[in-house]
Amino acid sequence: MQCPNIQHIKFSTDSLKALDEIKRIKQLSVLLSSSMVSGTLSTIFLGANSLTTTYSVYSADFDSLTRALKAVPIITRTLIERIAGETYLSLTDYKEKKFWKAVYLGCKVNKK
Amino acid sequence: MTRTLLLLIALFFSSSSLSFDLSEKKLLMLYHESIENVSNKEKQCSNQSRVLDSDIFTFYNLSKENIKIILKYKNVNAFLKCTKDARYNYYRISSLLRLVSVKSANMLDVSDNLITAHDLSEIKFRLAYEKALPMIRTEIDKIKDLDIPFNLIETYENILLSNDVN
Repeated sequence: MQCPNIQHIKFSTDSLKALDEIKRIKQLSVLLSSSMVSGTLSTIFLGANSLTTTYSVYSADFDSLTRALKAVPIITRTLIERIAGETYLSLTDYKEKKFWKAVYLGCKVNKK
Repeated sequence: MTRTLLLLIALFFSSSSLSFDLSEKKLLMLYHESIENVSNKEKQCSNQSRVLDSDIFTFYNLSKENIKIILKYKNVNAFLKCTKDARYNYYRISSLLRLVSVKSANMLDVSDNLITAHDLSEIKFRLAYEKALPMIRTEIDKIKDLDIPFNLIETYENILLSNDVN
């Protein structure tokens, strides 16, 4: 898909709220990835049986973590798509609508 | 006698702590899998979404605002229906992991926050839908095409382009 160039766009309150929500979701997504890594490591190495000095670390533990980490951006993407679509429907300004349609279709914002 | 009793108690606690460890580890793996399943299902449902026919609301003489209300609610509702099984499994595993693993609480808070966002959206739009269209809601709910994921923006544009909507 060809992403459009939209210059001098002035965002309305609805758009700004949606941008804030997207920012929050992206932060949650980063936080989830890091807490999944630390959560898995603490379960393996700091379990209830922490007095033991040897550990059994199976590749399956890491395989499932890796696949879950790859899944987080997709979950984030569907949420951003939803916010973009719903915001598009609530707006009237042509430039803003063009912007949210582009976000809905997968374009990323390039700040200049 | 006392020594034997103490030994038995110690054995009981060490084995229960081990099984606790194992179930926590297993649940953590299931938790990872459930997140992967949610994302696979969401991707699949998102990819299968299509543009609905422009004449879908022709008989109802709806305003632009009412079309928006219907589409917003039905869009999130169809998406939740499509991903229902994967989401249910995630909620189940997340609740169980929360029970057995105190240290997973922060991680679960974050993933719950992300995964329930669609559900919160659905509740918000359902309220608007129920409030705005009490008379024809039963009829709209019978439109099967609205129960399968659809492209929100292109469907809306398609309806507006082909109909004289105010």
